[in-house]
Amino acid sequence: MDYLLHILIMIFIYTILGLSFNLILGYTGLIAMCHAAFFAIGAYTSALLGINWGVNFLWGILAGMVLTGLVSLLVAIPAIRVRDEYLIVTTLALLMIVYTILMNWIDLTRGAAGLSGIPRPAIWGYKIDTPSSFVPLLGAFALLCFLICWRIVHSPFGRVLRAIREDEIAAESLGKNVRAFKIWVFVAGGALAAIAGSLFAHYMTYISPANFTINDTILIFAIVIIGGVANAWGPVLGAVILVSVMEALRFLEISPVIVGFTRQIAYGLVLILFMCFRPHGFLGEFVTSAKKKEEKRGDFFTNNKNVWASAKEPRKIENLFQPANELGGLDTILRLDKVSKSFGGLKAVNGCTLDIKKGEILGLIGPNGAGKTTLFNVITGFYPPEDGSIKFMGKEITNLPAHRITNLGIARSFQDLRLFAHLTVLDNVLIACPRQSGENLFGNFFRFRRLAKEEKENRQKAMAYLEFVGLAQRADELAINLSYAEQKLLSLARLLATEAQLILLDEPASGLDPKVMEDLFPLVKNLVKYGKTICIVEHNMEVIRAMVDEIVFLNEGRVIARGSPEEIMRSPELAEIYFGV
Amino acid sequence: MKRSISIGSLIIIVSLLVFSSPSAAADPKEYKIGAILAMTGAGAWYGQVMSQGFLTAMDEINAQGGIGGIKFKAVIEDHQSGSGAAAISGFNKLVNVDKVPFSFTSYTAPTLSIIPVANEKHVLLLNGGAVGPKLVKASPYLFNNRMLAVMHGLGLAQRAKERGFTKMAALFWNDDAGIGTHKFVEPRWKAMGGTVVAAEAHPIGTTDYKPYLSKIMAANPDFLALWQWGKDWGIAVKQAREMGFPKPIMGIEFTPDAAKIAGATADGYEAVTDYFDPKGTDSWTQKFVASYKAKYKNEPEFYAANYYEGVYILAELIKKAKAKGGDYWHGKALREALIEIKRFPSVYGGYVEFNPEDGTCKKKTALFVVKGGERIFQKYIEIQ
Amino acid sequence: MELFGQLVINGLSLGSIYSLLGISWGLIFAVTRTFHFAHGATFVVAAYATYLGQQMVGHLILAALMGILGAIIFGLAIEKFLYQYLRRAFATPLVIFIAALGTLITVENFIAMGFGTDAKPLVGFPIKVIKIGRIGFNNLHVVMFGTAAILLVGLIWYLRHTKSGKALRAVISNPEMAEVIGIDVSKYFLLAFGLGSFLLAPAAVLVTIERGATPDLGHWAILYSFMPVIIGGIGSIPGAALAGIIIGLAESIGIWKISSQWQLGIAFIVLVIVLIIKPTGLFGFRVYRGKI
Repeated sequence: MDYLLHILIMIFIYTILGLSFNLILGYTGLIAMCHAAFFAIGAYTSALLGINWGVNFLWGILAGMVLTGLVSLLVAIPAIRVRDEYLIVTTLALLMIVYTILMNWIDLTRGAAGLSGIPRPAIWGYKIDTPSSFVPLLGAFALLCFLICWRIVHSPFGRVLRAIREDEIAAESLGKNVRAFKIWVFVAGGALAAIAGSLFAHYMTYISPANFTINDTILIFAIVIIGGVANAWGPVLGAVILVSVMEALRFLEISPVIVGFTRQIAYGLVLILFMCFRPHGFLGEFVTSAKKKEEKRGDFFTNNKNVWASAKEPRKIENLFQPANELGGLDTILRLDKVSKSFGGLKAVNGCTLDIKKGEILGLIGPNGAGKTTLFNVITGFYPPEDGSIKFMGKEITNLPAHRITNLGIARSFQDLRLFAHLTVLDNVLIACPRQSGENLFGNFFRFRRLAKEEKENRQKAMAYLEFVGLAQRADELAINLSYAEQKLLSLARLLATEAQLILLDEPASGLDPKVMEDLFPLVKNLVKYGKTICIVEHNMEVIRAMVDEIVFLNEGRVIARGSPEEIMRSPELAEIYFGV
Repeated sequence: MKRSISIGSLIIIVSLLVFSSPSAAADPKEYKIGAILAMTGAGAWYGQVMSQGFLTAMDEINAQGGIGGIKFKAVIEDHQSGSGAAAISGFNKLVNVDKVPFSFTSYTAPTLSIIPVANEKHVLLLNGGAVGPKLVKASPYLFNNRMLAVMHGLGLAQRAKERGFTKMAALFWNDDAGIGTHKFVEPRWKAMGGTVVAAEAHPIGTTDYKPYLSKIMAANPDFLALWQWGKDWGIAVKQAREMGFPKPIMGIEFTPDAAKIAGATADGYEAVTDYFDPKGTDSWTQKFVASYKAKYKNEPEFYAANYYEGVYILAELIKKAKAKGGDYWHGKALREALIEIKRFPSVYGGYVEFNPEDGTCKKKTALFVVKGGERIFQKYIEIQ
Repeated sequence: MELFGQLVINGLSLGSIYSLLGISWGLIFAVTRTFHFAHGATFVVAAYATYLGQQMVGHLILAALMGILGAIIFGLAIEKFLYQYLRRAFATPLVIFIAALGTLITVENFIAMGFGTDAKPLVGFPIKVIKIGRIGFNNLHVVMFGTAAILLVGLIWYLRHTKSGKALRAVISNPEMAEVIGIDVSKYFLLAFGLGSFLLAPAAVLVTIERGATPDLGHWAILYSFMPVIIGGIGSIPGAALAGIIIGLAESIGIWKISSQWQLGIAFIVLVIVLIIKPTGLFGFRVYRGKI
């Protein structure tokens, strides 16, 4: 019986590790190799405090969480600047550094010999000494961590995490400070792993660096992958499977020499096979749509069946947009002054000077390679310009990060749309809504009523935007399942939801047939009525003629002509540049 | 009425007969014992030879019908070359599911990690491989039939003095065993009039010794002492010679696989270690070597020997405890038998004697020299 | 001062191995953008294939050739049967990474099961000690340095002056464009894997001669494969080679004044410092952020 309880305890510990890692890997898509390091720091902190100063294990857990949080913060700040491959490498480096410190700082950690005699936990004098008393304690912590993760995942914060995983550039372009989100999820995941570490230390009463190697990180990987990435129950299932299978192998009557290697080989093969045939693990993120609706009906703390119902009553679209006068007397909404940007030796944007007037629809045309998309990237802060200045509504925005610029009021669409493919249509728009206090990680654990109210309002707003573009009835569909035209409409709705004043559209008509475009034009033209300013990059002259007030002709990175559509299109010189005729 | 009285009396009489013999021993079906060894990971070789050692002994005894007709069976668990957590998991199963009253163990860290459970559940542990000083007095249930490193280290120091050296450089594991040995030997070496010019601690399993050897060579010692075990000494010797280190090298371990790695560079290496010589003349040694070779083709070394003789020690414990009667197949009873007997024949030749106070033992220690790739016995070492 | 000189020599030989690991992995990564974690598996395959070869034919050079052949076949197989399959299924980098990780674990443990975990030596290399004053090293270290230098120069020459080399460079700069001008990109991916595995094998043989082959060398090899590339800068082959030497020197000299057992951590600390100060790497020419 004790043996089974031991297995259950290990399952609880690994569940906590899996849940915390799932936040980082499954929901945010960050390939962090250092989870065992967080586990280790939590374990050693709690162990050392207990052994040397008899600190009660609850304080030990807290101390472990704080220290691990600090370390993960320190690591995240440089590491998050880079992506994918660099992150793997940096986090691997962290793991090895922590391991080396544990092995060699012998005065503190006793090195390879490890720490023994870690005191068993005691709550108000009641000592937890036997497996049967450990089970409820660990079960309680596992449940607590599960609830915390559940809350995070179903909050606006969690929504942004998933958006980051799908397309972090799109998330940034919607005004989300992607870097900050990544750092916070890192810290949260690390702190939760530290809890597992402390509990592990006090249960085993003996720890050594051998418990916290890259193999242990791989085990945590496997738990998340097999159980189901980005699914709250995934790590639970994964922990149950992996721990039980590993123990079950002991009972097979194979030569012990072979059993150990067989276990490792089975491990490796499972990882390969799952990646090849079922990369989302057993449970995966995409449970059936009936279940998804169930989730939508209310997450654990808001329990608002009405949220969904009331969201289906669209608001008046006019109420969503700010009235035109609020911008004050400014005439020019965006001013570029001799802006330049090169790549390697190529000057993509070359001393470009351009004004966009408030309330106009401006067309931006030019041959391929003229620098149109690059200009958009520079304006919106994805590429900092080498030279020149950019002023938006009179304010200097030249070197601000992209999400700040979106928050100030400029938003852009992408040629390749960059929708959040595996999120629903509604979620795609919801993410763009600004000023969500639920996007603050800690904010999700207080003021539930206010958060629920905000969420309800945002959902109503999102539905209104979807109504506006005619997608309201598709709200529950995954974005990847939409037709191309619908996806373009979604991209527009998402853009509008940012409440930006200046909207940059990158080839909105490409790939659409004439019928659809006929529906699209009035939509876009109407936006001016609501106080928006629009700049469109297009190759399709019909669209340009129908939609824009003025055209700017860009070639080799600078403006070479500006005028009404008729003027520009009549010019033979420009025609030659454009068509090479 | 008459019938029920007679049936009742019959039942009472039978029960008395069945349950009344206080001296009837409770025999298990088989003598199932455990073993926590390095079956995977860098040290898997140890697990292999250790298990081969005790399996050889078990097969020998079982072939004779076991002890009093009861045969041995071993359940082997893997501590993955030193993981305390794996050891605890494996030991948990041995104790709670297999219900073993006795278990072999190996490696210092895993042994230490299972001691709390062994104490609680009264499981007798016998270690034939680990050498860490922390094992001394670690538990009333832990006994070691391998002499501790500090003793060998002292022997090495004595030998170095004998050869006329004064300046020692030491290269050792940065764990309890290595550092502990150095800490033990250093003051005693100084008391003998020697000095320590370099002391380099390295992680277990290091394969590139150039950084450490560089510092050692720069310190210009008379000789190099290695407080290392397993295959590390072989790699260290090889790399030292390949860097042109000219001075004598001595250590407290000799294993054939490491010697293979060192190859010709091992010539002249002296080791003060457990005296187990597969070419020894003792009759039991020869019987063991023949038996082991027949099964596993290679010659056994002292790791296998320690675990081999461990089974025979257990056999003695069983016999003694059984004679006392009662539930003898129990850790407590076996332990008491061990404390009583104390001295057992050793497959090295001679005896192994346990100290019940701290679980350590005394066995033959010897000086070996490597010549032409072969280990040659020089003489016995008496450690003062 | 002599100690310093000794440490520099150590660093150069160590660094040569790191350079080989770096340029072989870096080539594969630059061409295929695959984080080929299973490169470590290629390393152990090469080492053990050489050992096995020696058991069969005895002669060291012949065995080494067998090792090289084994490495190339293995590298090609992983690309053809695993990575290409995953790419066709639109796998994300994460998925490919985990599959590669699984491959490394599987291969290492198969080898451990088959050969055991004790170090397998290679014999037949006549070690001659070379001494300069009290500084000591041997001809094997010289061979390491020489091999790295020759292979590096050879690789650069190949990329610059041969048709297939130039095609590889095209794929490195712009795979989409390369496809457009008619380069069969998947064929060149295979070439990159074959070439990368070929460059790796001599390092495996030399390390095995110096220390013996153990299954866990795979983990060690992959770590020191991508570190020089990241530190040197993705896309720069000479950068990776130079970074390899720098890491070797840093590790060896780094322990001059501190306890030698910290050597393992030094390379990682260098990595983190470089990433903080110059994320493109010391010689790299772009931050690997993907296209916007």
